[in-house]
Parts: sequence; C-alpha cells; structure tokens
Amino acid sequence: MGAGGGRRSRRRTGRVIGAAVAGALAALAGTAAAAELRVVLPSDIRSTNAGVNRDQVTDWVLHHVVEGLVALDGALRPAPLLAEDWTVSADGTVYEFRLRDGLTFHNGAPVTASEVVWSWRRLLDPATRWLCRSWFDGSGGTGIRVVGLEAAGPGTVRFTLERPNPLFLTRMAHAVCLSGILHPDSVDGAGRWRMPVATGPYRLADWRRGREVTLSRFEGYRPRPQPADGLAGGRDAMVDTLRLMVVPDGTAAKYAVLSGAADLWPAASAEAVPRLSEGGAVRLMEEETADVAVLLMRDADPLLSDPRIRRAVAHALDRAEIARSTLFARTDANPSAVPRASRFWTPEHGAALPHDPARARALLAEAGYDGQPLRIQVSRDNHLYLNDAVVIQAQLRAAGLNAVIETYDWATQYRNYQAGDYQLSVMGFSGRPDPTLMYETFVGDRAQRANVVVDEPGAVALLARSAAEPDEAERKHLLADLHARVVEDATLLALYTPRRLTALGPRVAEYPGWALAMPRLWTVRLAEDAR
Amino acid sequence: MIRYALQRLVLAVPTLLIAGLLVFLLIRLVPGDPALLLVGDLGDPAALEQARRDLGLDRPLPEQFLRWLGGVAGGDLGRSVTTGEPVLAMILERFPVSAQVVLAATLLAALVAIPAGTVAAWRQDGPFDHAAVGLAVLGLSVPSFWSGLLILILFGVTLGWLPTIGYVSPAEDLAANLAHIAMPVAALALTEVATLLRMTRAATLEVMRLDYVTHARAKGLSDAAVLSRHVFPNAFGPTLTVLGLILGHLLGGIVVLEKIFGLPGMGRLLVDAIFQRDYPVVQGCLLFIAFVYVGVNLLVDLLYPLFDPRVRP
Repeated sequence: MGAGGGRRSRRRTGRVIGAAVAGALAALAGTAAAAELRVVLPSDIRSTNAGVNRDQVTDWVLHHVVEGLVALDGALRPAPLLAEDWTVSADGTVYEFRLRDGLTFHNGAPVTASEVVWSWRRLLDPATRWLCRSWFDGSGGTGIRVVGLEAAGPGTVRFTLERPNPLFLTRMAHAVCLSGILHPDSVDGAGRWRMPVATGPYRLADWRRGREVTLSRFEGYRPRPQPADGLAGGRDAMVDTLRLMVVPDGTAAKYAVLSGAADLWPAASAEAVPRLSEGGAVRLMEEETADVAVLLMRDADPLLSDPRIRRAVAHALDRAEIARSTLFARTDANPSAVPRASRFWTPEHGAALPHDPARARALLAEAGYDGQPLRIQVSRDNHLYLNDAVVIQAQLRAAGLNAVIETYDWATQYRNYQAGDYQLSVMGFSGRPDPTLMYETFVGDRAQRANVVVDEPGAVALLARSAAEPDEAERKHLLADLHARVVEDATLLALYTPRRLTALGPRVAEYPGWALAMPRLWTVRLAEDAR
Repeated sequence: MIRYALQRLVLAVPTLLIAGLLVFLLIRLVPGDPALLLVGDLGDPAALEQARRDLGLDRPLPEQFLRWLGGVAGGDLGRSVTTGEPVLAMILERFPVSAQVVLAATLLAALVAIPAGTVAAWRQDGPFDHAAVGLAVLGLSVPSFWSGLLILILFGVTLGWLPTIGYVSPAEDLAANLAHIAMPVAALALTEVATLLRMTRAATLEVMRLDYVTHARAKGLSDAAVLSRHVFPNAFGPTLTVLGLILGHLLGGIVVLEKIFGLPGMGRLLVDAIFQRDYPVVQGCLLFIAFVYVGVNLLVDLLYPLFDPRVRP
C-alpha cells in the first residue's frame, strides 16, 4: 500500500471512529421522539398560575394549556373559544355566553357553567391577585364593573355589567390577562394554587425548573371546527409532545437550531440572522407584530417642558431611516401607536411632524437652546432599541441637539419609565388587542399615574370617549383625532412597528404567523420524516 | 485540631454576617423595583401597591433586613419574588448542577495540571517545559466563555458529537448527564489547567532549589524517588491553597458558561435573579456562595497540615 493509500485508510478510519463516537454520544444524550417538537424558550416560566404570576414567556406557554370563554382572532377581535356564542342585552349590560357541547377538562370532568362561574369568581377575588382584576371590578378606571355573575343554565353563563362597555369582550380576550376557565381541582382545599386543570389542547406534563416545560397533547380535546385564527378558531394540535427548553443565551439558541437540537426558536434574535441563513437548513419567518417602538419625551423635564424643543426633536427624526436600520428585521416607519395591520389604522395615522432638520434648528434657536445635553435612555438588553437609539442620537446631533445615550439594564430603564425619571427614552411596547388599550398606556392624568407620557386634557378626553364608544366607525374617527393630538403634544413619538423573527428547523413543515406574534404551537405541522 | 477547626468555624460567623449585610444593601443600591417587574406592563397602580405590600417592600429597610436575618438564622432564606418558591429549595435544586460541573472541571484540571507542572519544573527549560508554559499562557489569555463557544461550535454543531443545549441529572441518566456536561467542564477546565500548572511549576521549582533535594540526589536516589518523596509533597501545599480558591472562584465564574450551555445551575439562577431584582434569591445565592467559599477554604486549611508539618496547629 502506498503513502496515498495509507492517508486514505487513516481518513476512512477517522471517519468511522467519528461516526461511532457521534452515534454513541447521540445515544447518550437521547434523541427526540418522533412526534415531539423542541422549542427554545428565552427564559423559564414564572408559574403555572395564568394571569396571576406571569410574564411574556409564561403567557406563551399557558395559552396552550388554559382557555377562556373568548380569545383574540387573527384580526385581534374577540372571538368565541370555549363559548359557542354570546348574546348582549339591548342596553349592553348583560352578556350571556353559551358553552360548547362536550367540552371536558384535562381531568375528564365536563365543562359546565358552574366551573365558569367558579373560575371568574376566583379571578375577581382580591385574594387571587389576578393582575387584571381592576379591569373588571370597577377599581381600575376602565368603566367596567361586573355586578352579576351567575349560571343561567347548565351551559350558559350570565355576566351583568354596571354600565355598558364596548371593550368588555376585548379585555376578557386580552392575551396577557388569560381569564382562563379552570376546574376547581386547580387549587387545594385552602384555595392555594396547585396546577392548571384546564381545557387547552395541551396539558402540563412536566416542569423542570430552569430546564424545560413539557406539554402533552390532550386527547380529550374537542377543537372548534373552524381553521386556526389567532388564538381562537380550531386548536387542533398536530404534535404529540411539546418540549419547551429554556435557553437564555441567544448564541446557544442559534446553535441549538443549527445543530438540530431545537426545531423552533420564537423571537429569534436579529443578530443570528446571517448565521441562520447559511446553508438553507433553517428557515426564518418574519411576522408583523402589533408592538410599537417609541421615543418618549418627558415634558416635565425643564428643557423638554418647552414645546419648541420637543417639536425640534420630532422634526429631527427621520423615521424611515430608523425603520430601515432596524438590524435585519426590516419594517416600515409608523408614526402612530396604532399598528399598520390594525383595522383601526387609517391614513390619518400616517401624519407626523415631518423630518425637517432646518425647521428643528430654527425651533431650537427660537427656544434659546444652548447645547444642553439631552439624554436618551435605552436598555442594553435589547439590541433592536439600542440600535434605534444610536440612529436617533445621530439624527438629533445632525439637527444641532447635544444628544447622549445612557444605557441601562431593562429593570432600571423600566423603573425610570414608571417613575417618569428620564428625558428621552427609547422602548418598545408589546401589542394590545385594541388601540384604546395601547393609548391608555401612554395617555392619562399624571397626578394619578407617574408613567403617563401624554398628559394633555384633550387627548385624555378623546381616550375616554374611544373607550366608551360602541360604534367602530366612530371609534376610528376618535382614534385618528387622538393621534393628531399626540402628534401636536410631541411627547410620544411612535417610530415603527417591529417585526418578530422565528427560526424554523428542517423538522418543521408549516408554522403560520399572526399579528400578536405569540407562539401558537398547535398550528405546527412537522415534516413527514420527522413524525 | 478539633479546637482549631471550631475556632475557624466561629470566625466564619462574622464573615458571613458581613457578607449578608453587604449583599442585602448592594442589591438594593441597584435601581429597579421587583414589584414593577412582577406586575409588568399592565399599568395598574393598585396591583403595584399590592405587590409591594405582599413582598414587604413597603417596610423600612432595617426592618426588612432584620426579618431576612431572622429567617436566615432559622434556615429560611425567604421566597422568590418571581416564582414564590422557597429560596433555599431553589438553591438546593440548582447548586448540585453547578457543583458537579465545577468539581469535575477542577478534578480534570488538577489531574492534567499537577503532573504537567511538576514535570515542566523537573525538566525546566526543556521542550516540555516550553510547551507547557506556552499553553498555560494561552489558556490564561482565553476567557472560558470564548473557549466554551469554540467547543460548542466544534463538538456540538460541526461534528454533532455532543448535545448543544439541555441538562439531564445524573440520577436520571448518568451517561446522558456526562454528555451534557462534557463541554462546559472542558471549557472551565482549560482556564484552570493554566492557573494550576503555573502554580505547581513555580512551587516545584522553589522546592527543588532547597538543600534537602540536593542532598537526596547526592544520596543517589532516582529522579522518580526524589520527585515523589521529597519534592511533590512539599510543593503541593501552595497548589492545594490555589485549588481551594479555584473552587470558590469557579462557583462565581461558571455563570456565563451556564448561560451558553443552558445549564440550570446556581450561577444562572443568580444572574436571572439580579436582572429580575429578585432580592431574596440574590441574597440567598450570594450568602450561599459565601458559605461554600468559607467552607472550602476552611477544609483546605484543615488539610494543609497533612502536607506541610510546619503549619500544624
């Protein structure tokens, strides 16, 4: 055998050993079951107590387990989920929900009106600490007060409101509150939380804290006959087991998808796009969200209390450039807190103080601006907004403003925002099902809430009217007027609607996106060879 | 010896008290509000106030400290702000993961570095010495998170030999556990090999210059006998001290690797708690680390006289 033959033989031996080692180690590590979907979670869930101890990731997971009477559809409208349908009395104060036939809880017990009443009484009990209780008990200024809650028959539940409110169903369907219908076995004899015994297409099989959450398909689930539509519609789970693995590091998540250890990475980081795009094995799905990226200005600040300075900042901004430079998640500029995909978005929402550096300079001169520093707060935890802050800083400087960036961790920036302790702040807000709910985050009376951004009486009045107006066409007009007021006030500068990326491994054949960009893993269809 | 050990234990109490006070105050100096993060962006002032009351954050700071200290004295480190779980249970669940990786990395580093450092000193200025010192400098210059990433890319992604994420406990499946911790252990050991090798080499060189080693050689003892009987036992003392320090240091330094490899260890628990301003968990973890650090160093101090009779109490 010659030298070349020896090298070939060594290479062959090396390959054989490599394959053997790989096989042995793969066997050691265990391989995924055929009908199992492995999903990356950026953090662990906080609890299994929906709407009580929650964060975004907790919501993501528990929406697969817990269902409410209604849920948001693809157009962010409330649609029936456990309810077959509902009726509203002529005066708008009585809602009757008729439950679907044949529904069962994860423990096999039938779903009846008494469990619905029990669930809602538990949610409205202050001892439960439901985060959205004040939306329904009259204490939160929403105009909603549930004064009656009763079973109007074995399959019918009646809610009576003190006054009619057009946003009652929207708030009930709000993804964050997750007003889930539970079996009383979910709590112990003393009313302490045990685990969700609910009605969703998946049930909680295992939770290894800090490691993973396993959901298994609920065989007794009866999906609605309609196709999947947002969080509503048919929730016909196609994968037996969901392994939701906690991978807090973006780099690790990227390599997990690339190595095939994970099949789906929701909210993939934009920095991972170039590497994930290589080779073509991993697909990237871009979803338009209902989120909003904003630049907030604190008009209580001595410098920014002068509207000319605030307007100069607004004229200095080139939103199109900011939107173009949002890392790899491309999007269009949107000067409104109403997302472009919303049914409430009208051309009036495209209005803004135009990009005009010369006008900005003139306003600054008129206001006697003397180069005082203007601090932009941003979180270093979110590269998207950090990148925006850098672009905004450059644009403000180009217009003659001495803008400086201050980076914080998210907890600090969030505290500063809540306390109103900032000059400028670049942040993002997760999507709300209705523009009124988004505007109420920003607009209000600062004497009652320190984090109010727009404290302008006209805007506050318009917000209140939009929350009480039942006619959708009229609400569109009110929201357009509200946007115009916000533009004039120049404290809330919406920038664009962020997009969200989801990385899909080769085992995933189909995974449709939707407006809230919240994972809906019941819609995942695995590739033939992965099942 | 027992009296010495008891004295050291008693001395550890004020150390832990000071550590407790420092961690309590330091986390509160960091801006942020755990109640805000708990309530999230729902913007309900009533829910926020209720959360503050539930967490005891509306109480004066000295009262919060004394309550916490009283709990610690009774073995109760409080409950997590974010999950509501008992902190001690969380630590006891996470600590074994970190401890396993740290102990395995330290053992691996010691097995490689101590013989290599001894031989490098014995063959000072030879090719092995140059290679060992060169590699040690390289090892010290490469941060463990970077070597961890390289190992992850090579063995996890390119070769596909090892699982890139996840963790399996040894009680569930020992073989799978070893496969999951292999890469973080290797990444952690690389840096520590360098530290230990340099320490062992320096200590061995120092001992080799002493008269009794020359005397032992003059008696005609073999190299191996001189090295094993006269040099190694006397050179091991300083290395043992460094080993103790390394163990404590690694418990704090494993944080980044736990994030990269998705290990549910105590380092990640601590970092997540810091970002969530989960005061009880931060305080509990730091106090626990201080406790372990004190314990390990106490153990090293007690073992030291076995190798060096000069420091016997």
